[in-house]
Amino acid sequence: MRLNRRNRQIAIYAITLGVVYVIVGAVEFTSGLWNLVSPGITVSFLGVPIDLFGGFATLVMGATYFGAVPILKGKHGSLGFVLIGTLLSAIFGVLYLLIVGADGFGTLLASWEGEEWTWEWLTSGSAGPGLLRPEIWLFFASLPLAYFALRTTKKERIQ
Amino acid sequence: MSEKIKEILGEDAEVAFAERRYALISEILPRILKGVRPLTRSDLLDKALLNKYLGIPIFLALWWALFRFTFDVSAPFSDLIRMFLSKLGEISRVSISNQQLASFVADGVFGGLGGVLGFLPPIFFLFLGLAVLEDSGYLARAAFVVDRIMYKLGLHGKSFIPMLIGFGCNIPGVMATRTIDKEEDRILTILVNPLMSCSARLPVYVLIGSAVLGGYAAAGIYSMYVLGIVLAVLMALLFRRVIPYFKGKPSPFILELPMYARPTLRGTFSHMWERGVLFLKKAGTIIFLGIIVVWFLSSYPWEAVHHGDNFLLENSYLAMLGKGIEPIFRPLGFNWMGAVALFFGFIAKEIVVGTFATLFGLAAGGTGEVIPALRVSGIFTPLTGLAFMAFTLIYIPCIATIAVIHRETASWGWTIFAVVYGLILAYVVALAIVGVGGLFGHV
Amino acid sequence: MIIRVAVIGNPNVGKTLIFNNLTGGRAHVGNWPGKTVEKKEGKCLHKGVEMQIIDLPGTYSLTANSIDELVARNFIVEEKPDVVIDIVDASNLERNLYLTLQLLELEANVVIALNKYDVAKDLGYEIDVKEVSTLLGAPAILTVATTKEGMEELKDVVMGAAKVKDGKRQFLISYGKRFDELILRLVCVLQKDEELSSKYPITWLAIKILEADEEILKLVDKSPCKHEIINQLLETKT
Repeated sequence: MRLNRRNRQIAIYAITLGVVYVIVGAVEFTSGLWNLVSPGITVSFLGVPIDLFGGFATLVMGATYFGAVPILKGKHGSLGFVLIGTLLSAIFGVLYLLIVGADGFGTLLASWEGEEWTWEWLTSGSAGPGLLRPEIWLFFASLPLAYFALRTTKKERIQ
Repeated sequence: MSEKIKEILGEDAEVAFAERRYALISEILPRILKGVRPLTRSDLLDKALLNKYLGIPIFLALWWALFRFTFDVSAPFSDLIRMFLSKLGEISRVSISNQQLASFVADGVFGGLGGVLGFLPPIFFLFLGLAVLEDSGYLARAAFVVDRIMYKLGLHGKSFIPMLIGFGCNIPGVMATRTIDKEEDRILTILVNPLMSCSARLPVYVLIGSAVLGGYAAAGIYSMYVLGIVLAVLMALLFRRVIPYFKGKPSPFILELPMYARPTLRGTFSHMWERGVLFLKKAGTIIFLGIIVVWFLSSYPWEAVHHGDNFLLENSYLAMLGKGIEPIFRPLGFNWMGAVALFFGFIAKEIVVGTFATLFGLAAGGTGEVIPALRVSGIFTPLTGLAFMAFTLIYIPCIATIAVIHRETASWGWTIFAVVYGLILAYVVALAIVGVGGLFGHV
Repeated sequence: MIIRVAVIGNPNVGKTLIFNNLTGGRAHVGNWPGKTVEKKEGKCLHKGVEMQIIDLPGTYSLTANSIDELVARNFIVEEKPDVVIDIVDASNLERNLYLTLQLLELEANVVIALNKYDVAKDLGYEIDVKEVSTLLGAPAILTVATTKEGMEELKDVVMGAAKVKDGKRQFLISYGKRFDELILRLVCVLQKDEELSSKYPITWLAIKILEADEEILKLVDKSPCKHEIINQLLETKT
């Protein structure tokens, strides 16, 4: 099939993203687990946020991207994993952005109540390191992937 | 006689017969059907979402996103509402001359009711998220994936949809079990449905979570929902094994998956609005009544409570009631206020929050906002707070639910059983949380 | 002469639409006696012959597990309609044919309507209608209920099928040596019960007994042949 080469590229891109997601997710998850089990000790690696369930979700996204592996063997049906992977990336990316926004709004409200205005909410808050949250950047990285994956799956395809 | 036959034939002949029929169809099919169906995008999406291994983890991940959205993004909106209402409370306290009326309006109405309304944003955000999941067609896939596991565990299918509905409100969830054919399966699903965390419990989670769980608030709330599902499955398994009425093979199920659709803005918002409005209506009626009762019981006997400039909550009727039932809850770490909140929560879960709001409103002498007040009062530690949330999750959601269970099962026996096992399970789980957490060094 | 025609099929295959096409949209709606399941009946006049059309509940199979299935099954067995139109979703053959097989085993006089043929074509399918008839021993028509395509042929075929109602050969499925033998033995025993054998198709009864079908077992429980049946089963226990 003509589209073979494009699909291979998509698959490799997806798998690479998958690796990064899995690493980030693993760090978030294990530090979250460590914190739960031995309270009082906060451990965090390289600024990656400590997030038990968030880490789990990130791991899931990585695993989903790995579902693209069969594409390398010609099984184009596995493009579905890429689609879902990018969808999940988008959902969480947008989610964390919204949370940063909400933190900002909250800071605004607090300032109406007399508290001092700060810009802290940009880099720390409910979403961990705010805008520096890895999932937000990974989401941007997944956008081109989403574009190409959607393009190839537009026409109905025969397996 | 069917037992005898099953005994004689050993294997499950019914399944063997069905398999043979399907085998025959597979033989016939290539001879009558030509052409291949191309993969549609819907098929591709299903490949991942319905995948044996990824299906449930994706479901859990999406659910987590839903809760982060519900809790963290709605937070400033809740703050906004509370700020507004507490200002109204201040104004009314100052401008109404009659002391009792002033207290009623400021603490009872604005304090208590306002406290409850402050939890409206999470509810709307939750329903918004659920509407998106539902309208896109994903929820049917989620139901399929969960039902598939439940079927493998020996439970019947078609049970997750009533449970999903139960996440909004347990009442339509119980009624949705009418789609289940076998009566035994239906009653089993009804019995575990209240374990699905309904939207009325959300304010309680948000209150306790914000007050004592700090950064882990969203995680705590999420775990309540997951805990509910896990307990529902465990209880269903337990009942099936232990109660003779439920023994027997679960009937297989066929679930039609709707096409994927892009959720429309209007459709989603109207769904969200419908359900949010229901909550508002309830707030206006039962909760309002409940709050009046709580306000009354905690303000009287007037002289004893309002001694001089102090507000002595301990002298009120409410405190008397609370101290009476407190001993039962002491092993769980709840004090009399928690006990009283749970007591009124029997009527409707929203009243739990209303109770705390009224109490703290009164005690703080006015506009104290309920979340910081709860935190400062030290009534709950993170661990006991979590246990309280679990208790709220598990025991029967409200009197209306009890009424519906009675109607759908047509039996007082099952209804009473549902209430009793709920209370017992709630107590056991809360105790376990406190116990296990203690072992890890949490307090 | 009035021909009694029952209409059955999986949910969502277009059964209601075909029922309306046949009856001109005029139907008498009531309840199946003693049940909460809705019963729809209508009339159809075709080439001078009156057909009474009865709409059976939509089901995936004919077991004893739900009221819908029992109502449908009992109607076919007890009322013995002249023709049973099985509406099959042509874009979903695999699942729909299960019900068809059960109808054939019930020895109903089946006419297969392969509906939603337009959807099947869009999906890239092609159906060999002749093969369907040959393999299943029942006449089959392609229909598109939404455009009324195939409706006249359907009525013709139904009329034709009504005439040959009793001259059909039996549709037998082989369930493997062990079960086939058992079925034969049970059939011999069941033939001795005059009441049962005159009312129900015997081979079907035997199969249901082996499937431990609750409703059938209740019937057999009252039969004088009950013990012989149990003996036959015990004998084969290896």
